[in-house]
Amino acid sequence: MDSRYEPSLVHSFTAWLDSHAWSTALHESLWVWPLVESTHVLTVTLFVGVLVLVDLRLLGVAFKDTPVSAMTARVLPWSIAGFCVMVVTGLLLFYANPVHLAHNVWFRLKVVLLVVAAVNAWAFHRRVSRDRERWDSRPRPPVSVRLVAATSVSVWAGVILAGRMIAYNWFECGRDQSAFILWAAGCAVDLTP
Amino acid sequence: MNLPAAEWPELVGRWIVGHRCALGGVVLMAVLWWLLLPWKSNGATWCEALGWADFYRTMGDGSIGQAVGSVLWLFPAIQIVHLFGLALLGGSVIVMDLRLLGVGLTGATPARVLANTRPWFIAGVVVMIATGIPLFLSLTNKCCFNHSFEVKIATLFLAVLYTLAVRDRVAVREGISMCAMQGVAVLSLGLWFTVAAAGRWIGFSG
Repeated sequence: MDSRYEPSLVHSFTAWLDSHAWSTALHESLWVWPLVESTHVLTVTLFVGVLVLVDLRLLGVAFKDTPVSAMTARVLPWSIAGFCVMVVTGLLLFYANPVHLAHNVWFRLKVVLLVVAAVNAWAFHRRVSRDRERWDSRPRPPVSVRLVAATSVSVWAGVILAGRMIAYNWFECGRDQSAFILWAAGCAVDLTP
Repeated sequence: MNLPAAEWPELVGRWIVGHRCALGGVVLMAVLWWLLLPWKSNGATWCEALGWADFYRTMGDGSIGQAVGSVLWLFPAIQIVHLFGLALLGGSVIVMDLRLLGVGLTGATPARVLANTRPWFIAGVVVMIATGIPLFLSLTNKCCFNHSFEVKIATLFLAVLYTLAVRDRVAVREGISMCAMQGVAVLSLGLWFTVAAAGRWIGFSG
C-alpha cells in the first residue's frame, strides 16, 4: 500500500480478500464466473419475481381471492429459496472482485438498499404477525400493509437497478470524478500537500 | 425411514413410474438443448447463412437503434426495465408451473392460479418485448453473428406459443392427470429457462 494513502478498514479487508488465489481464479475463470453471474441474474425470476406477486397480493391488486396466509405459507418459501441462491452467488461474485466492488458507487447503493429491504421485511413480519386474522381474506389489506408491500417492490426494483449498473464504470475511482463521487465511492485520496 | 435394503429398488421404480411425464419433459428439454448446442458451436449463424447481415444493418440504421446507441444512459436504462420485465414474467411463470407440479398454491385450482398470474405474465412479456426491440436495434450487427441471440429468439417464439396454446389450456381444463400436468410444467419451465439463459449469454458470446 502506498504510504501517501490512509487505507480504510473496508479497503484493507477487500485487499486481503483480493490477495487470495481463489479470488483471482474465479475472476479470470472462462466458464465459472459467467455461470455464477448468469445464475445470479436468472434467479431474479425466482426471488424478486415470486416476491413481487406476494407483494401485489398485499397491495390488493393480484390474487385477491387467495388468503394472504396462503401466499406467505405456499408461495413465499420459493422466493426465500431464490434469495438463498442470490446470497451464495452474490458472495461468490463479490469474492471474485472485492476491491473494485467495494469502491463502486452502484454496489454501495445496492448494499444500502439491501439493508433498507431487510428492515422493511422485518417490519412486515412484525406487522403481519400482529393482526393478520382480521384481514387475511380481505382483497385489500390495511394501508400499513400496503405501504410495506409498495416499499418492498420499490426497494427491490432499486436493487435490480443498482445491480445492473455495477457493470458500468462511469463513476470509477481513478477517473476525473466530482468530490461527491470520490466520497461516495470511498476513493483513495492523495494526502500529500 | 428404516426400510429393508431390498425395498429401495422398488421405491425408486415406483417414483420413476409416478413421475414419468415430468421425466419425459426433462428428456424432451435435453433433446432440445442437444439440438441447439452443437449447432451453436460450429458454423455460421442463421443470419449469416441466410445473408441477412445487410437487412440487420438497415434495421440498426433506423432512428431507434441510432438513438439507443448514441445516448449514453439509454442502453442501461432500457436494460434495467428489461430486467424488471424478466422478474415479472419469470415470477408468474414459476408460480403457475409450481401449481401444475403439485406444489405452491395447492389450495386453489390451476384455473384460479392461471386467472391470477396471467395478467402479470402478459405484462411481463409486453415489457420484455417492448424493451428487447430497442436493445436489439442498437446491436443488430452483433446479433447477426451471435448464436445465443438466435437461440433466444427461436425458443422465445416456442415458449410463448407453448404457454398460450398448451400450458394455459391444460391449466383451465378439468380432469387432466397429475402426471400430465407435471410434464406440461417441466416443459414450460425448461423452455423459459432456455430463453432467459440464452438471453444472458448474448452478452458473453461474440
